[in-house]
Amino acid sequence: MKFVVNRDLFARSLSRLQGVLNRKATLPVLSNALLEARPEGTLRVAATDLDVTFDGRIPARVEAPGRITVDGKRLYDIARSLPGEEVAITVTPEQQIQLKCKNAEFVLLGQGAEAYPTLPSAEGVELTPIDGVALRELIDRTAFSASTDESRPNLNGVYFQCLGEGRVRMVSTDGHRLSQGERDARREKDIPARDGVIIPRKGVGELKRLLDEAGAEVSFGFLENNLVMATGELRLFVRLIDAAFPDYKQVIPKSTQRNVVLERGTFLGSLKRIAILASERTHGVRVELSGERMVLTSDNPDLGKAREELPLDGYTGGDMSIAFNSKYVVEILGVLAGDKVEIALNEALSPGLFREHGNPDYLFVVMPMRL
Amino acid sequence: MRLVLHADMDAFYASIEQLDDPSLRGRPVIVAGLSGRGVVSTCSYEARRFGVRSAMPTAWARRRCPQGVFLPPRFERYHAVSEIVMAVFRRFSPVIEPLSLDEAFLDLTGSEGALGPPERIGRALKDAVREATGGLNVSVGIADTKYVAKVASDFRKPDGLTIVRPEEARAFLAPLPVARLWGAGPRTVERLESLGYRTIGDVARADPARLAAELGRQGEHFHRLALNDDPRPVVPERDTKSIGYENTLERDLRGAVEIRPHLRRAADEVGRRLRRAGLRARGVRIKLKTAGFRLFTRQMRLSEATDVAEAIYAAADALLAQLELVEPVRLVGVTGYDLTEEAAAQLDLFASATPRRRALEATLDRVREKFGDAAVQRADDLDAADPPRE
Repeated sequence: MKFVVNRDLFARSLSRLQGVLNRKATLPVLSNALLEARPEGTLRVAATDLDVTFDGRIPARVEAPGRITVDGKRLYDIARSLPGEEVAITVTPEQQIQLKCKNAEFVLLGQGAEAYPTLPSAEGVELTPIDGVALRELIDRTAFSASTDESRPNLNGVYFQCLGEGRVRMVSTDGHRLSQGERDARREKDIPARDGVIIPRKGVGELKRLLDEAGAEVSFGFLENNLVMATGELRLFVRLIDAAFPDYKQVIPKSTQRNVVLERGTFLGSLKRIAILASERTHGVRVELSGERMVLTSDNPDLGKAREELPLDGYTGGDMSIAFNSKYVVEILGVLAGDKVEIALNEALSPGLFREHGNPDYLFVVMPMRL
Repeated sequence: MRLVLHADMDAFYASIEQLDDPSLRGRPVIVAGLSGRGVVSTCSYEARRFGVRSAMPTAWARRRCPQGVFLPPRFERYHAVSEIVMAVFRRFSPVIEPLSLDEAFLDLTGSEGALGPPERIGRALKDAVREATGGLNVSVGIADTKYVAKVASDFRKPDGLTIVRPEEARAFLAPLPVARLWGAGPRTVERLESLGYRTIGDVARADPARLAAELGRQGEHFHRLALNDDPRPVVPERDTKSIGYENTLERDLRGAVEIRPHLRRAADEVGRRLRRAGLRARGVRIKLKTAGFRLFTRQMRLSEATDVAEAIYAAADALLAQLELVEPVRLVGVTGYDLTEEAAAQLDLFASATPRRRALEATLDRVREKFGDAAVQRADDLDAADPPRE
């Protein structure tokens, strides 16, 4: 096996794999990257952790085809530090990998590709073009509320659903709060409607990596229980969570009695201030609507208390008092764009609804606390 | 120097029956499940002479002791008496660690000035229990460690009082069989004996490195116990840092399918103990020991503190999935840690089954308290239940 590749392309293709390489896996070969020099003049660079697989191809001058696996982190560290423009790689029959670049030379110990797990193939998968920029925005604004509690596997990811007519939706929830976003993500042709799937948090992270690189030009499809994302010669396979996403629609308030609009920056600033004296464990802050003002308070028996008033000119929804985990609200205010935020409440123990004023694409639901 | 007292009521349930019905005194009384699959809870010392033992199937006990008086348990009564007994213990020390209805550790460190020498404290405690209950006996062991105190309370049962001074502790332990090592089940005993350790003295004299090589961390643990090196403090219930339950199995288990029912049983027990203590756990840990004595533990934090067995089991099962066990497993344990007294302030979006589930489990607690553990069981466990080995 022998080939020559461009150093930058090689390093970049290896950099993508870094989140997938698993150095603690029970199968040691999973810390390796798979290199395959193909006779048609490409180098395949791939890795899998059995749940997420990155599989890419870059142009190469292949002198002798072949397959090998090698420690993917070390190979990346070497590739990105090499001095020249081109890297020449030779694999000996003893599975030693020699890298030469200008005057630098490395020999890495490889492992035969036969021990590497079989990678999924996108061949035959119907790929539908989708707007990667819209997807990226959906992920940025919804994925943060996915649960990290592994005893609730159906919440450990982002629910992704194609609604038809090019609209796609993402939802995540940890059982205390929920984020939902919807965008028109059509590119070239329609995206047919289909049942939602749950993309695990890890896979969402790798998907973001791919979208950062790809921009708008991506396509997607499904292969058995995998989501396939493709851009150029790069394929990402993410094994989906095999569980039922909860009935999230029923927890989104249909109508609300008390609706207020606030300057996002002002509200965020005062919420963060008041949260300083909230309980360090629950982060609870009380929100009172009283006449034409909102009063934020926190009370920590060990430290002291805080209070701040915000005017609500023209508010007529009536008085009420509700408490939220301030971290949840601060996170929402952080992902919202736009200057104004709408807050819609019903009763003290009913969920609160947060939206960007004038943007129906996103909504956030937070369950209150009993303080 | 520490001073630890271990108090263990003698044949607790059977003695209560004899106390309440004087015609039973001096007769073999066996408190047991009387159904076809029932087992013996407790038997009086008269019944023990016929070879009746706790946990023996009731049918066997009837064969061994046909003249025995077989009674169904009256748990409400036993709980009431237990409260009286624990109240007596609290008069002797503010730091008491109940292990069950009829057994507790008391930390007496520094009490000698007020209560007198250990002998006097032991006598006074025994008299006070007898007086408060109207005639029940308790066996008492006093030593400078929990381990030796516990061994001592059993030493001259029934109605025993054994005081082991620190300088005598090793000599006291030395002739005892290795089965008296804390944590040594029947199979560990077999293993110790096959390695040539018959008495605790043999273990004390052993090369700790060799013990560790042969038995792993358990080997070190046994060696320390044999030398009366047991620094564990008496932990009152309210200061508990974790609540766990583990079970060494009659038969090795292979694979998740066989392990899960035992995880579930342990989770049920942890949930029950949490509820009894008024605590919730923010973390769940599982512990598995393989037939080769390798120990595996995994733990995770929950998104909210819980005392619901169902949620504890869900976490335990997710942790089990993280382990790739090749070897068979001989011990399964579940622990709830990072405990809190607060109820969850954060409400759940999916007004989930949790509150109903908690209500169900609390109801089962009350049923078991009144009618005994066997009153309600999982259908799975009925199939799995095989009679204890004799």
